[in-house]
Amino acid sequence: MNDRFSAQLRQHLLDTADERPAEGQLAAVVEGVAVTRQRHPLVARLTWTHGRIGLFPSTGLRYGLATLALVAVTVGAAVMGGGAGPSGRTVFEGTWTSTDPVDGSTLSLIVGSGSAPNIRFEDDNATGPGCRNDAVKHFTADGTGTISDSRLETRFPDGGGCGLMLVPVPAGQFDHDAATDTLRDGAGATWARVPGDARPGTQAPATVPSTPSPEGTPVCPPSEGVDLYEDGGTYRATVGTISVTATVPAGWHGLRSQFSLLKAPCIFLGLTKLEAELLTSVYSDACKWRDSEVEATTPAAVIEAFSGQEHVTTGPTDVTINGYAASRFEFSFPAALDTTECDDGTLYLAPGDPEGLGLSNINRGTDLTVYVLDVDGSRVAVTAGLWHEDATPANLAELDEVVASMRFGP
Amino acid sequence: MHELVVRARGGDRDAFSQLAARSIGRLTAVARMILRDGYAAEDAVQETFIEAWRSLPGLREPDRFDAWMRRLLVRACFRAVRRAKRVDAVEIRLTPGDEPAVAGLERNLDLHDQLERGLARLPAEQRTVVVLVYYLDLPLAEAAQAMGVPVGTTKSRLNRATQSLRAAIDADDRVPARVAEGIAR
Repeated sequence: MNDRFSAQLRQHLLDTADERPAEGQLAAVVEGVAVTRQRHPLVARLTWTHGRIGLFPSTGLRYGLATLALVAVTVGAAVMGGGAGPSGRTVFEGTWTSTDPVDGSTLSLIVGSGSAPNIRFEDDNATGPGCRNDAVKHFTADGTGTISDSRLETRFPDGGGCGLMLVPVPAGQFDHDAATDTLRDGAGATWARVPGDARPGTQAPATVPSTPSPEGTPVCPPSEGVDLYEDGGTYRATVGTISVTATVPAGWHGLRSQFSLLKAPCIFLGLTKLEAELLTSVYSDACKWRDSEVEATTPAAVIEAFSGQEHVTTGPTDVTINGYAASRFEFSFPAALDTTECDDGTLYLAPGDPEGLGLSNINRGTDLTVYVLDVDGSRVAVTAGLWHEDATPANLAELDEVVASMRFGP
Repeated sequence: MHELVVRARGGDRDAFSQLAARSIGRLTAVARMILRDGYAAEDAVQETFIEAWRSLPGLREPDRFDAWMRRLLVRACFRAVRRAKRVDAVEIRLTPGDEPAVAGLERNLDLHDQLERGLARLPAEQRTVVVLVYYLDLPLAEAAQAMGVPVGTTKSRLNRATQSLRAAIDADDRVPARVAEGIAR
């Protein structure tokens, strides 16, 4: 692209830009703000993330964290009991609480003993994007503190989350007011000591979404706002301009806005998944992806990019789906995989929303089967695989049947 | 500006209103360019300001307010695109073969028309990077931050977008010529 064209494009945008707000638009903003409360500073910071920084080692931890919510007292006590710093009580030791003014959720700061105490931050109803796909919105972050005089500084180097992914948690500072025995954080919010160090929210909630019931059947979280297909039979969604259908048994959930199916007792709690997406480019290195982007101009380009991948266990294997020639790859991303040296600490096989479709949303602890096919000149990736380690061989066999039922049309 | 952000972060609604008044025009223009739908753009801007007000206490660096607002706006626009796939429908309708005016020899597209048509055909994510880089004059790194994607992805999107725009202009230039040839025969 030459400079002349760039200049023309820039000038065109400047000439055609309409910077006049619509009538009443500013007033609507002011009115909206007037009836909207701000989030608690610490909670607000959790929403200001640049994407995921890492994943829990296993998707099984989703259930583990749900259980954690039920036994928080025990776990909290255990964690706090192992203070890393010099022993001895400080004025900060104990449990402090504040309230998120937006949703009324309880925020807790649990401080261990010593001048370098272990710290745990919890939000019992996190509403930020870091927990968007989690059934249980109980946010937990573990870190360490440093106490100097009447100030506690906290750090959470591993971030925190609700189970599906970790998001950054900002460092904080808390000043102790001896007169009122309260803490004031760096943003001016006040934290009160929980009398007798009784943990807030130690009583198990009446219902804990997604927590396995005694019978092992999860209680489904609400899925309002998600346009779902959940009838069984023929599922249809578009991939670019391609209409894609699949025959699914009862017990599957799908999004109508994109081709994304889960074998699931309820949405967000899938055992196996099946997704299809258009490929414009892929990464030839899922870990060091930043400098490995390859344009998906031809199926051969995608196949070559995937063939050299460290995590490919099988493939490419020639198969057909609905008469379309496809190349099948098996990927394995072990739960114990260390991604700390990966770009952004994450794995990608293709650019995209890290909370989006298959190739840009890779969880460790999953095995994926990726089919690459060319449908009328467009590169399509079909990603099938484990969503949860509890998936059974029968679940996987069913998944294969659904893949075989896929049809691509205009 | 810095002081206004600090005051708004502390809960001062008047300060936030002043910030909104200063930036609403530019943000609305950006949303209009990305979404190409005036009503959807206004909704996205409204959503952006409300989210900004709610989350402002979490903004640690007041001087990053503009960048932060851009990111919120881009996210709101992408949500709007996902909510209403009508943007894609518009893009499909605007393919060259379906545009009746192109077939008319009397329509002489100037560069502005060609660019406008080319922009309309781009996927929203490519149009976004064009707007961020060429209208807001952001460096690639800041555009990447606003879009929440790696710089490499941003660069490749921008390359694809500009190539598509150039191709669209070339195609528009060829169509009248072909029509003219047909009439001459």
